[in-house]
Amino acid sequence: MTRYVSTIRLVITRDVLRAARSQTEALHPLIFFALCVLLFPFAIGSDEGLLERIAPGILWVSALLSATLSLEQLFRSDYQDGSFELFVLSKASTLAISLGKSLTHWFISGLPILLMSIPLCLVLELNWATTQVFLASLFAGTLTMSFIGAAVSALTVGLRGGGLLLAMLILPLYIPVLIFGSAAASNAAQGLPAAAELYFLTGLLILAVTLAPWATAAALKIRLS
Amino acid sequence: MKTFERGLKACNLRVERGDAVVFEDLSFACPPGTITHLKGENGSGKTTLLRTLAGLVQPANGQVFWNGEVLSGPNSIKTELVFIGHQNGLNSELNALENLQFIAGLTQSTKIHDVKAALRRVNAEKFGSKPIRYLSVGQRQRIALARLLIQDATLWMLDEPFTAVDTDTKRTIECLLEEHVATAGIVLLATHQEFSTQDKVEYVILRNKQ
Amino acid sequence: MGNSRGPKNPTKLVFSSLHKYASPRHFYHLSLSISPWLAWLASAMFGLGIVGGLVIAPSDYQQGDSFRIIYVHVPSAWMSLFIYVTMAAAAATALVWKIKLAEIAMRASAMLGASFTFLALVTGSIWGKPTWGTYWAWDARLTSELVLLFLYIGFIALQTAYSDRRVAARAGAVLILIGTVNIPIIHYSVEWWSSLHQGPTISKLDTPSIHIDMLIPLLVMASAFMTYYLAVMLTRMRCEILAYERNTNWVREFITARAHHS
Repeated sequence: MTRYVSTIRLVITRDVLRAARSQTEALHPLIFFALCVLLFPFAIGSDEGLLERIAPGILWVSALLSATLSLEQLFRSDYQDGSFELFVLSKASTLAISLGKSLTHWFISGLPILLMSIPLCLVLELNWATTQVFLASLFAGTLTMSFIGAAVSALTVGLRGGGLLLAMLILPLYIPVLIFGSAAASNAAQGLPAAAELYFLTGLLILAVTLAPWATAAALKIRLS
Repeated sequence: MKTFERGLKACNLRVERGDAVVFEDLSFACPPGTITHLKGENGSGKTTLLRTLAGLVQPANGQVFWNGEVLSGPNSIKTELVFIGHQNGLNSELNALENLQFIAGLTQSTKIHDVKAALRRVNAEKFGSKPIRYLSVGQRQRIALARLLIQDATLWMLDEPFTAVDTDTKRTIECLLEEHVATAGIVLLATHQEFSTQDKVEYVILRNKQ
Repeated sequence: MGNSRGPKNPTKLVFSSLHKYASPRHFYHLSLSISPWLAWLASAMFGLGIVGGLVIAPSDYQQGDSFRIIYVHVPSAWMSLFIYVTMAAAAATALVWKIKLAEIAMRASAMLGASFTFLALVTGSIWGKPTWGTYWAWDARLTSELVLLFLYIGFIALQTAYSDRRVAARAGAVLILIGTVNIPIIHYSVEWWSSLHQGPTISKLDTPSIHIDMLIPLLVMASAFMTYYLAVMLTRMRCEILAYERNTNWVREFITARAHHS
């Protein structure tokens, strides 16, 4: 057990260190997130009522797209520098590494998105209660997306078609998270209870955390064949 | 009664990649204490053979045996293996020390405190704190070889380890190989270059299928 | 004395024939002999079903004759799901036991599954015009079908992205299994979403009482679609088998023999 935990800790530390060293690259998903949100008022007009109604949807879709964008980089450098062989062909547990990588993606993508969404909620004038529910839904949602995304990312790293192929495969799988996440925020915006949606999201999260790492480990081995 | 054979063995291996046959009818054994040189030109399938022996590639025909058991994937062999492929497994944003410490921790190495000593042995201590991306190919290769000292494993699989190394480093590598087989280790080297060690070397020669 | 060894153990017989036909070569020849029968059977059932659906079945009380499109729409939708489940079973077999034929069956079914899904969507949309007044009304079932189409397309795209056939199949198998876990989740979440944003839209099949005169042609059409799927899948599997085994002797001899015949 401690071996698993230390492997996970090692993987996360290394990747966070790497992300911190490349500085600007780590910020790209954040900037994309903000830009994506800001595109909508340009597209549909800054009519207050309309924006308020679809704000949860705008925030959720933008968060989802930025999480997907950063997914491609999760395994790319590992594939290129031979770390994949290290993950699969050494004493280290491939399952623990998969878990670690999924959490890493959340730390370098999901968590920043979560933090970035606070000022964006202000820009879109969501009240504090709605923002809280939105952040809770985003927390569970981004974590789920990181876990499922890691599996598909491992399957497609380095292939022709790259990022677009990954997006094509992963977006249908993200739809349930999107449905429940934005519904939770919409409900809160209308003053309705959002507990049911949040429970569903938590259920999805638990399912993802327990099943996805196995798929990621299998994908790592297959990608190396 | 099944005799318990230690080491790696290939029986009638045939591997196809895409639509081509890379090699077929390949049989040889690598018992403990041997160095096996997989020899052939570029494109002859050395890397594919190495990866098949590690359990990564499924053969179309034939089997690989590790310690008497058929290998159906990397799981049964990976705990006793150091695999240094074309890309050496070093992350370019981190420096040598960080990379080796990560690898040592990941593989539960008993030598986790000897990372500096390992770097000294391969003559890479001077640039141990520079990020890998600023080092030359030869320097990176030396650090990759330090992995052999860090990871405790019986089986060493090296793909083109002599790339861009100078004669001193080449001699160091040859010494490492000699020491390893002296303690009943197994070495598989895929390279088109020649090298010399005190021990007798087994050859497996692959020819280009064209 | 002689060759009589008594009655053979029946379970052994079943397993040995399963083992025999799990080999691509024997399966190839077996499917060559089955295919013509399946093709004729499918044609006959289509004939029966079309006559039954267009002529014999009575007009619907509410929808008049426009409901008749269910004789294509419903079997397509059933097949699209059935094929995905079949691919999932093949995927699990391929990953666990590494059986080539399972990989081949999975790859051969993908395009068929996508086609049936597309057909279901198009016929559903056509049906929508007289029923709801629009070609697309974000009905829960149709939307789930659309997501399923993307799952199929993703699988096919992944197959073409990998250069080695067998590795592509294993990667696709993992993808299909991830998709299989997700399909019930997607289905129920889309249904839930649809009930949030509009009133429930009831398609003809939601009402439990479908008249027996309408039901029988539907079942005939469903069997026709299934037989058609099997016939075409076997043909596609044969192509894949030849590609998989292109470097073996039996394929080389088989192809030279065919070349000499023609």
